[in-house]
Amino acid sequence: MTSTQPRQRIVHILEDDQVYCSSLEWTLRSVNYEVCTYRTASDFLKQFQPAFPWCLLIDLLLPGTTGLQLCQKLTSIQANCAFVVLSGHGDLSTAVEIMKLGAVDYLEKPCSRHDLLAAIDRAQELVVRRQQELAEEEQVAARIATLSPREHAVLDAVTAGLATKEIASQLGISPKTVDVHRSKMMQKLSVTSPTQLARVMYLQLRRANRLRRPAALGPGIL
Amino acid sequence: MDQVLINAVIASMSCGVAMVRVDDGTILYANRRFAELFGYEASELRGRTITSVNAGHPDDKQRISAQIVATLRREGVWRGDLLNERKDGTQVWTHASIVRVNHDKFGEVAIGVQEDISSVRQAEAELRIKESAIAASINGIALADLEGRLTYVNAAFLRLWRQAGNQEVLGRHLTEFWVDRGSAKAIFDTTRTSGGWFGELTALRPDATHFEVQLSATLIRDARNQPEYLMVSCVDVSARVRAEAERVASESKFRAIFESEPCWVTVLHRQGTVLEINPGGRAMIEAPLGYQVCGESVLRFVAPEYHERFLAGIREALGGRRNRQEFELISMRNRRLWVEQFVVAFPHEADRDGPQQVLAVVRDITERKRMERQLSETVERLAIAQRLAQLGNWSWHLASDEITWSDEVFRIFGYEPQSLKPRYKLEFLQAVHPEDRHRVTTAVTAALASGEAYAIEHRILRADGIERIVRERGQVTFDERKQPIRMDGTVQDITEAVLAERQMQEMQDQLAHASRVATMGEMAAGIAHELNQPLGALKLYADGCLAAAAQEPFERTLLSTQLAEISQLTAHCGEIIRRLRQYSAKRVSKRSTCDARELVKTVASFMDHALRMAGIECHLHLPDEPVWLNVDSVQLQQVLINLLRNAIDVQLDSQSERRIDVKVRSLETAQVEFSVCDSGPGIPAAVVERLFEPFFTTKPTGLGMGLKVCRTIVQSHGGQIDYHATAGTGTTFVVTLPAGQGTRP
Repeated sequence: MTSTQPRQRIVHILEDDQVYCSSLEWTLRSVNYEVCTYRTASDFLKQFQPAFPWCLLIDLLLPGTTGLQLCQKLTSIQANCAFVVLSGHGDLSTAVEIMKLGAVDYLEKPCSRHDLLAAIDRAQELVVRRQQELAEEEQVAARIATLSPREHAVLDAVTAGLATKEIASQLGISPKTVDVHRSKMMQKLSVTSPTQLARVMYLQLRRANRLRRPAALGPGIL
Repeated sequence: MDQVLINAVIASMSCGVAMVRVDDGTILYANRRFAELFGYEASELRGRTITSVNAGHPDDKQRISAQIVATLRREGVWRGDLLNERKDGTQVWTHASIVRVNHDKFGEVAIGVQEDISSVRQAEAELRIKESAIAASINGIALADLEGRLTYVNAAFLRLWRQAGNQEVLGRHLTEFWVDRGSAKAIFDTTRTSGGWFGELTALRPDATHFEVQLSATLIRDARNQPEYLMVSCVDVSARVRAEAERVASESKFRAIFESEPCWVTVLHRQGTVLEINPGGRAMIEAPLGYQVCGESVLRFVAPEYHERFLAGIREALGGRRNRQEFELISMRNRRLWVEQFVVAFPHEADRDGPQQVLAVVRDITERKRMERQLSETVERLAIAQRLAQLGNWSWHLASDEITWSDEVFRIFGYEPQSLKPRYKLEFLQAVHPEDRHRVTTAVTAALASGEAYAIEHRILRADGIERIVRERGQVTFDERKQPIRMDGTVQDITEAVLAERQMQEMQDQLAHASRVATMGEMAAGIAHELNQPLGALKLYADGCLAAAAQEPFERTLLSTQLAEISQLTAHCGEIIRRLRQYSAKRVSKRSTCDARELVKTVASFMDHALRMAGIECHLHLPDEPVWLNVDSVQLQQVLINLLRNAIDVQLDSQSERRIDVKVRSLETAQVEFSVCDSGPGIPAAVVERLFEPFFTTKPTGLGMGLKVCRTIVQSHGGQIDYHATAGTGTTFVVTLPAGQGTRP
């Protein structure tokens, strides 16, 4: 999974005002971020690949596709994007909309260096963390995919909190056979304790939720 | 022969016969006739000598006597004429034939037979006188035989035909001396048959010249009444004929003029009685056909108020002073005509006490009078028009420097009309406001040099110290050597117009300002947005510098770069603020040279925010080269903002692509065209008509002044605003303005 390794400290800026864009770029570079700038949403989308994580700084009033529209689009395709939104003028309803879409922060121009860097840092942190989470989830999912149907059934029963005997009677097999399946299942999932198994199950659940409710992606889920 | 018979014959002979003794001249015998010849009784002669009887004229007595004596002694017959003195002292011419014979009884005797030839002699004398008279006559006289051959011409004849001598003409035919030989021949034939002809004929000289002759031709008969000669007498009447011809010609010319002249030509008696009138005159007084005008008093046709002057005019003419007068004529149909009359004395041969008649030529001048009246009315109207328009005309004579001013020019300059003789260098130039004087003289000098017309507005200080504004126009006139001789022009007091225009401009400025202020609200958002970008950047740079400054080691280069950036951005912010202030300020219209492209860019930046908010892409199509205009840039920005604003508003509800195209281009007609094209729904028909109507709006919050103000501004710049709208394909507003000068001031 080398291709999904998070790119370290790259910020993508969507801002059509050359002057302001330069100041953003300079500020971010001063704290060792790499920066890519785009004048319009369509410029950005030409470069965009959903498989990669993206740390974005987006101006709301872009010519053509607006910042809000872009955020909606990115959210809908479940890309690993963390975005900080810049707005030229305070508009509460847009701010609420943006925050619902899972923006890391909503900054009004002119914003201070501190606020900007804090927001970008958080976004960066988020995108890195989410990348790790995604990696974990993919690992767990892959392991679960190796289970036989019996082992999977035993896993489901264990997750549901049933005892060995109860599982045996439910599956119509002997308790001894249940133990063998459980032992194999634990081995395949690379867990050694029930606690570790519980974490796997959590990750599995989280992945299922993410896939089921795309809009819910964001820090709020934690 | 019987002696007695002889004696009887001798005694009764009609001749005087005498027998004289040769020795002593004693009359031996004389018959009765002889005695009668000399006034004696026959008996008295016996014994007397012949010389005492037949003595001749006292002057000749001796000669005659000697003659007779010599004759008596001579042998043979002697014949001769003798002048004798009769007994009573009268004279008698006799023709004598004397013969000597030897008489038986008396010896040598002379027998003389004498005949009275006094009557013949007298006739001869008379003939001689007549011949001299003919020869000396100033009439040319010629005799010709019955064939017409000339046998005699007198000196006058030769002179008339310019001939040197007889030999050149004698023997030539009579008909050769005339231009028309045929007529001449007829004349002479007539003369031959009827005995005479009198008339005129054109004579021809050998040198081919002509002259007019009065000719009298007579047939001369001999004693037997047989035709013998043709006599022609000629008088040169060329001069008279010429004079006559001229008289006739001039008379007929006069007649022709008299008859055909449309003027009234009339001969008047001194009291005004019409003696003659021509058809033109009849027409003028509208005399009915057949109406007898002659004999009437001409005063009948003269308006009564002119009678006295009319008669005075006639008297003056009779006194030798031809004169002219104008009066009103009343025709027989009671029509009034303005006429002018020339009167001159018309002498007549019969006038013993000076001329009694005048010749009057009367001409209809009604039309001229009407023209004169019209002209004077026109002049008057021009004066009134000049006064009303406060416009005067002038003419400046360059050589003398004098200017002719119309009355109104005097008033404009604060003088009584025609109260002085203005000169360019003095009265005119001194009246020009000192600050404008240089401008005026420059314009005039340029006009004099180029020959082109000039127009200039300048201030003047009137004689009473009041300042006025005038518009002056002028043009030079050149003589045939291309030298300027005169400058003509007009001057108009435009003070009120200028003040009104200024007031109007102020009102327009106010309106434009009000309209700008009305849009300021929505402009504010756009300006805030525009200002926000550099401010945002400033904040980040400043913060960055602060952060850098707090670090050790201190990064000097980084800091100075960013501070320079900060400085530049601050200036940029200031510029935005300045533009905003300029746009919103209450101001006086001021034109300057600017680049149309810059105008459009500025406006686009003003409207950037609104365009973004509306999701409209605005495309600017600007030429590579500057497009110069001489305009009030703020007002023109206002126009473009209004047009952009409208273009945005019509697309707010549009579901299709939202787009505005702003185009600038230079036209070949020295104009600049701005077009703002939207992709909205076009303009509904109901709105089109009221588009430029004030207070008409389709926007809930609109004032309805936008396009009205736009049009006012554009028109005040000498341009026009128009639109092309088609339902469904959007609307294009086009502003056309005169192009400005090509350099930035």
